[in-house]
Amino acid sequence: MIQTVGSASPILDVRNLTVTLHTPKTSVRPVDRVSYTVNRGEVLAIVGESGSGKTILNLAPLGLLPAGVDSDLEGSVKFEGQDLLTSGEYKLRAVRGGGIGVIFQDPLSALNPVRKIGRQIAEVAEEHLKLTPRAAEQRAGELLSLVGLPDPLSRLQQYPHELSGGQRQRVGIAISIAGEPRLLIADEPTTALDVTVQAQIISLLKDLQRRLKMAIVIITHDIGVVSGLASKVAVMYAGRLAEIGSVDDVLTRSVHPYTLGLLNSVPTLKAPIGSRFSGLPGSPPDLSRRIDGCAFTPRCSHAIPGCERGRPPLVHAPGDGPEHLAACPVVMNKLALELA
Amino acid sequence: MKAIKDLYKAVGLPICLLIGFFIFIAVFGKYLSPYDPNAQNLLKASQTFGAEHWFGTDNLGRDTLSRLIAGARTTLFGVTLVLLMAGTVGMLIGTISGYFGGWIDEILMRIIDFGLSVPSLVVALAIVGVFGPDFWNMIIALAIAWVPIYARLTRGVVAAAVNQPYIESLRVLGASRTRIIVKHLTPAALGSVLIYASADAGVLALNIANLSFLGLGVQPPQAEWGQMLVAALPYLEEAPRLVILPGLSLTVMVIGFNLLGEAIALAKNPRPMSKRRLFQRRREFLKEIAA
Amino acid sequence: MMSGGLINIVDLKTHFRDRRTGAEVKACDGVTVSIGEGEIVGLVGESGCGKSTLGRTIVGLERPTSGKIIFRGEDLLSLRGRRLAESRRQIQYIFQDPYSSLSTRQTIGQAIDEALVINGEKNAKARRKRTEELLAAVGLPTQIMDRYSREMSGGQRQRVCIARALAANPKVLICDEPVSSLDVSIRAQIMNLFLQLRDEMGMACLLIAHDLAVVRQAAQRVYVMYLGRLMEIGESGALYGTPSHPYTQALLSAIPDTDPRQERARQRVLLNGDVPSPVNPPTGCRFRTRCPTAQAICETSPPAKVMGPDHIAACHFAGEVNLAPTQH
Repeated sequence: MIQTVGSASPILDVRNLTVTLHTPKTSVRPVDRVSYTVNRGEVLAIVGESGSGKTILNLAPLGLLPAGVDSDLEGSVKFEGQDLLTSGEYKLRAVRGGGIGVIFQDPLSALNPVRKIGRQIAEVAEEHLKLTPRAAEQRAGELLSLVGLPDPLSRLQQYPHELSGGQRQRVGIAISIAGEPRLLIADEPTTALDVTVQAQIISLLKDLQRRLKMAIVIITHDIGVVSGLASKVAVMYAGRLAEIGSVDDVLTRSVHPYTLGLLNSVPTLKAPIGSRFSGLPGSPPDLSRRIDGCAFTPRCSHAIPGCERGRPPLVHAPGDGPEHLAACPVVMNKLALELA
Repeated sequence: MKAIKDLYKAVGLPICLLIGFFIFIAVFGKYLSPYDPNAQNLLKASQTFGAEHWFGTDNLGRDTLSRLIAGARTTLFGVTLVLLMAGTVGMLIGTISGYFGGWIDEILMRIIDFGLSVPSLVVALAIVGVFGPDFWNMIIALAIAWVPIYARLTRGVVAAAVNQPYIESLRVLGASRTRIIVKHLTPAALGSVLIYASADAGVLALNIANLSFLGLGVQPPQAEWGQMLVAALPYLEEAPRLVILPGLSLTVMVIGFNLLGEAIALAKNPRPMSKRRLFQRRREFLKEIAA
Repeated sequence: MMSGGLINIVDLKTHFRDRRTGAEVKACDGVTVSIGEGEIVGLVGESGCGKSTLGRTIVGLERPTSGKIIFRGEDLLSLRGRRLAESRRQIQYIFQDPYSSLSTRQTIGQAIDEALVINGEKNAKARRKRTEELLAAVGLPTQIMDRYSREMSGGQRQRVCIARALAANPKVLICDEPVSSLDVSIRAQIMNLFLQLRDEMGMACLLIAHDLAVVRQAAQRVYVMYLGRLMEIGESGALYGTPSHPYTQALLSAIPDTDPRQERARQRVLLNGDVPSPVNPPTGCRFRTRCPTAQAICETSPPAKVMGPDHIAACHFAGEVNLAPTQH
């Protein structure tokens, strides 16, 4: 099949991706037949708890897994028409940092502690944009001012430990966009930061996305931070998508009880003072075991006896657009009845 | 018991056998050696391999096999003594330095860094030079020369642990200083010290032989591989086995300790699975997850 | 404010000497806080505002420069020896990262058992029984005793840390960001545990956090701290209903709304940059360098303006500015 890279085709097309990881101690399947697309200039938020597979889903196809882990990837992950799963390490390296930029959760561990910040940014620009060292250094200065670091030129000469957490994350973002990527993958970019800095970083990402016309995939466990940034939201549970749709569909007309549980667990300024916090009971399932039926059943308040038989498929939510899909027949049947 | 099992699993049978062999010989050597290693018999001097003396005899008619066995004992005894002394003193200094920090740490680490900057063998040579060549002087000299390494190592582990929340929560609970140091900080450092020591034992064995070769360590007639090498050098041409055998023993022992240290270090950073194991794993997992 | 509290921290200062530069870091610079019996009090502010230093000073992990820590009528800083240890024991600390708060070489049972030993319980059988009770109190099954912390989830580990702190029979828990390293979905479990401990055992808590939304629901009273000083103090209802200090308003404004329609419609006050260095804090109002409404007068020390009963704001324009009109 010939695929043309036009503006109509999605920049990232993930089809039936399954990831199995093997370490000397155990094997797990953190991603199980997941499909989604990201269009040019779109912001997709992938939300789920620790261990839901959301990070592996994004990093495994790029070959970014910790050393000592063997991975089996099935399905296809097409970036601008090129299947990343069948690309060799050499081609992947050109994609990483070039076509796809990555922001990591912990900015300190993603930066080299003994090299100047300017060099670290310039390196990426040299590699992917084929700039001369001097031009790359100049570009690094521009990038630092683009990500809103005050006094960017003197920052170029600083080392990571001389910066605060928020400033380091800005440097991390500058590095990730230095190769002028068309897609930015941000893995929990705000989790390690204060609420105030978190707001700054979210607003920076929104601003960059608009100015550089990038697509962004933001991975987070905090469904609270996605409402102002994402255009599309995918909720992931136990290696599968529980719900996916436009940000308004998923956050305001949520279908899946897991999505609702995540939304309810975000503390708001509306709950009565002194009242109990609402969250999700229990913890996510062990992904090294077989899961029968809906993986969320043990923690679900809507669960009925049929739920532990057969994993529910992802289908259109009744009454909503064709883009809004969810995997909970119990709630969907109720909705369909109400509509009828 | 579990620790020993884990160690065995990590190190593997061949290395365990090799190290076990040397330890066995050192401990039970007295009962194994066919002759008194120091008994001279000029009538049977300079014999080659034979039924009576398996590895022959030296120029004074002493049984080479018995002397090799006795040498293993001397070397391992020396290595153990030095490691025990240097390890204990080093850990004590390192723990004090890491736990108290501040000016105590500054002063102790200045001294330790000075000690580290001078090659250990030079330190040992100087001490033996002052106090005279003798087995015990050599042991003490080597122990002093080896203290800085263990002090540094311990200090690093302790200083990193002391500000960890798990130590701080013990302080908030009201745990005494002794409890924190003895029950938590020392065991944390002991692991690293033991790993380092297992690889270091080979280097020490070599140093004991070196000093004895130079006439500064084990004195004749006590059997020791380095000392045996010197004694045999004049007869290199007519009886090369007298040089080769102790040299070979030393080499095998040093390699054994190095392999041991490497195996333990590797066990801490596990390597990826073999192709066969991975294939097996895949099948098991698919069976588990599909069905 | 409440002088009859369980703990009264009066004008507490904790200054450090920076190891490299030798400069004096005024991490906590004159803070007065009181916690009543069975009361949950919130202490909020950004990283580097000194809130953790305050908490660590209360439990003796940092040495104060001056001030008083009055616990049950006695100043801890003037006590020595046994009596100090006896008082200190009743104030326990919960750390942000439950993983590094537990030794990797101990099982859960051993960790709690050790806390009981330190607390003077000599009978092993009694300790075992108490360990089971403590685990039950924090909602963990007894079987977990033989497991190591690496085999448990973040939420479970934090429960273990709380159980271990309870082994000392404390009257107060100082909780430093107890849920910020946990998944949002799990946070409620731990927060509700604090509420439950207060209701069932009369446990008082100082809840230190950067997230105002988390603190709001649990705390009766909230202290807002910035660069070593308090900016605003108030009953939760008053402080969140009519935030009077521009810093509090900015912190509240940073909390995202989960409803995308409201999020799009809303005007946010974004504070620029980070908290300045506590080595050379700005003169006058410490917030003035980042305050969107700062004026010339802010270079002089702001008065503590009384905004209502139990509600004080340290700002020249307290009550006159409103950076982020709340929707409710």
